[in-house]
Amino acid sequence: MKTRIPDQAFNAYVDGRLGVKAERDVMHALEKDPAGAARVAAWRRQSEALRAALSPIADEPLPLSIVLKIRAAVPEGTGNPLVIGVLLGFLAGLVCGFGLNWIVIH
Amino acid sequence: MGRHEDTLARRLRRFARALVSDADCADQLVLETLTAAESSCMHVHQLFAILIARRRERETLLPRARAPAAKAPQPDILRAFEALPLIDREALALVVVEQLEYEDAARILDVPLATFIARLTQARATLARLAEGDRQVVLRLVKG
Repeated sequence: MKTRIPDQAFNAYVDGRLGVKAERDVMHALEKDPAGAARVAAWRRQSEALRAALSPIADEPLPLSIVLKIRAAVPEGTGNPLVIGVLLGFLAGLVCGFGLNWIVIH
Repeated sequence: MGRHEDTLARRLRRFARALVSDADCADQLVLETLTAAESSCMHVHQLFAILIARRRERETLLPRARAPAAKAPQPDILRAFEALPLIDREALALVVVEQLEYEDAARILDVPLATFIARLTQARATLARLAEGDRQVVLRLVKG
């Protein structure tokens, strides 16, 4: 049942992760190994079925509990352009006010 | 809420569901993972590692507490997949569903690459046997 192709290369072949040359080598080895070739086909089939069954979960809308959690995890204020804008506006107003006050007094 | 966090949470949810079939339990696992990661910006691989650790704790607390009859109908492949040992499911979920490199998956599971490859090979062989076995049972049932 076991092929002579090393396990890592065999898995990588099933997953389509080999370079061109290594892939060709495995393909040649499989031509003389019908059991190995059948194993490749079966493993690819089951991978596709598993992906098809589980992938759509990442497209589902997030439940409210998780939405609230990730909102809470983003630190308040830091990096928020609106908050930075408001703070800068406030500072600018303060400087202008003091400046005008100084001009009026002197 | 950032787009990045949103995508991350969706991936975590999918990964959790590969390790726990009950959707509410899986979401609970995601919440625990996000809580553990809170306030530090973590890479998705670190989050996977946290989620796996939490899931394993549960496995030792409640060994195989499953209610087979009450479950919603699901594809054959998921039935076979859920019958696998947890460590086999972890390996397959990381490579097949999350499409991670073998090296990254080994790092997440904190095992040498050779150990990871052996685990992945074992998981695929068992899954093929279970899925095939399932089909044989169905065929026998159909043929009467």
